[in-house]
Amino acid sequence: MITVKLNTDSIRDKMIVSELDKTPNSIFSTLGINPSGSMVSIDGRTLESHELDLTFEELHVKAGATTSLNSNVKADGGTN
Amino acid sequence: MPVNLKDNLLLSDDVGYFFHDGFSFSNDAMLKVALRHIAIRRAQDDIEKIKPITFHYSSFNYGNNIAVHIDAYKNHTENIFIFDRSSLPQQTSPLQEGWEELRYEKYPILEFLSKAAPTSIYINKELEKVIVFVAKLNEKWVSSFSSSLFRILTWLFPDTQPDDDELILFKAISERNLDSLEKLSNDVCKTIDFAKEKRQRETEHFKKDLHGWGSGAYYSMVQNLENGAGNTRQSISVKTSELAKLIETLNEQTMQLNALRNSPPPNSDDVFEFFDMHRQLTTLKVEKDYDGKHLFYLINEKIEYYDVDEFVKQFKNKHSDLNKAKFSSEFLEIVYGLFALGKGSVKTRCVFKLTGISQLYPEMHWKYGDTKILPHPHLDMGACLGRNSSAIVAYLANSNWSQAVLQSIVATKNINFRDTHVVMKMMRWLNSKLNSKSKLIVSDKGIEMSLSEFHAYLKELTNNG
Repeated sequence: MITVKLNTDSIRDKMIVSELDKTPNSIFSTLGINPSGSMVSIDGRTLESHELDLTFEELHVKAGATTSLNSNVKADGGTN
Repeated sequence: MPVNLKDNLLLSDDVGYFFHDGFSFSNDAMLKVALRHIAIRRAQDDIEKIKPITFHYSSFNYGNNIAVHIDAYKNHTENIFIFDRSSLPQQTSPLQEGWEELRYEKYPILEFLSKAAPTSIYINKELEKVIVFVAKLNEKWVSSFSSSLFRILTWLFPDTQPDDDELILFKAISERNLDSLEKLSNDVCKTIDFAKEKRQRETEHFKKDLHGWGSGAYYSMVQNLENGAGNTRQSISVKTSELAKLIETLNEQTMQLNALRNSPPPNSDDVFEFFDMHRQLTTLKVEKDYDGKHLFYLINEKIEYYDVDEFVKQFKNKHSDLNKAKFSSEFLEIVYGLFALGKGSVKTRCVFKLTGISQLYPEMHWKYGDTKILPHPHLDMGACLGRNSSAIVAYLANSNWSQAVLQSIVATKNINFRDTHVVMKMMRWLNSKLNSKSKLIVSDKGIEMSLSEFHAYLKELTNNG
């Protein structure tokens, strides 16, 4: 078991208990969040889109740990 | 000796109510008694038929032209105009139509009046008006004039003769017989209840006035209240709007306050733990000034968030800034491999300043870290966060500084190809590094390369099919 501390543009510090074989995408899916168009990071590591379907174990999260799963919307810089 | 007629009924207020003389003179009592007596008798006991005979006195001198005097009073309703002057006017021009000087061969009226004061009289029978000039009016003249009315008011006495009862009146006036005059007056007033009529007419008048007054006041009050209510509504609307803004501000402040209370201020351990956890973040220094404490940190990232379609559109457009710049084919192959094919990413850097947990801005032109890699075109070259700004502000409003910092990473990984001015800055910077050995690129295999190495890598991929 792990504790996932979730932060998105609309959710702050939501604590979720999860199994190690769950994936970031499964967490997002449970909460009705679509991470496409967002930068997702876990414990300071920015995830590539294909990594969202890796299990927490595959993402090197250890049993009993508390991990930070963050989602930030990709927005354009500049003026146009 | 002045004539005392103060008890004469014809001079009472009740009778006077029906006669509206103009300006009068001090010893006018005899004339009023005569005129009112004639008018009331002629009405034959019917008050509705009383046609008042009225006069107007003036001491104003309009000169010698009679016509000017007539013209001056043409709009007056009185029948007799008495001009009291120091001397009689001299007729200098013809009289207006309908007017004539009163002269009788048979009755030397003017001579009679002139014994009391020089007099001249002009009359318009059709208009039932008389203009009298008298040089220094006096009481004797008033008595003489009053006793001669049957010769002057020709529209009432066409035969210049009074009836028997009127003759008694004129005789009493002529003789200044006050007892007889009082009896005559009482008799003529006996036939009509002037007091009752006056009350009735006044009541009708008051009713009419009151109705008009009440109506006007009513609608005026309605109008005033409508205006007042409108102004009050407008005022309420303005204040409601102001109140709504204040409530909105209060809600925002309350939300931020609650967020702060639920989120203790980060201690230095929390902050540095967060920064240590993120490999792309490097804390640079802490400064303190009147705004508070500022944490400067460097982000080393790769440009990975952009609109591929927008880049391809510009790349294929011969008239785009990218093609107008006339870059070498080698360089164009590199940027196409980077942004269209995604075979590599450009490394970039930017410094941000986090002030407490309330402000976060990019800093321009910093030289920390690997200065050989691309300074971020939007952030380091222009301090422009674009739409990332609103996300950062929203996070900071909720004291969510860590998400705000993560959003700064998002901003660093982004290039907006619609912002062609900034994009061209990036292109020119990259083009200037075409022959540099600096590892400015990370390939899709995770290998750091210079631009020329990346070009070779693209060739190799092409050759390998």
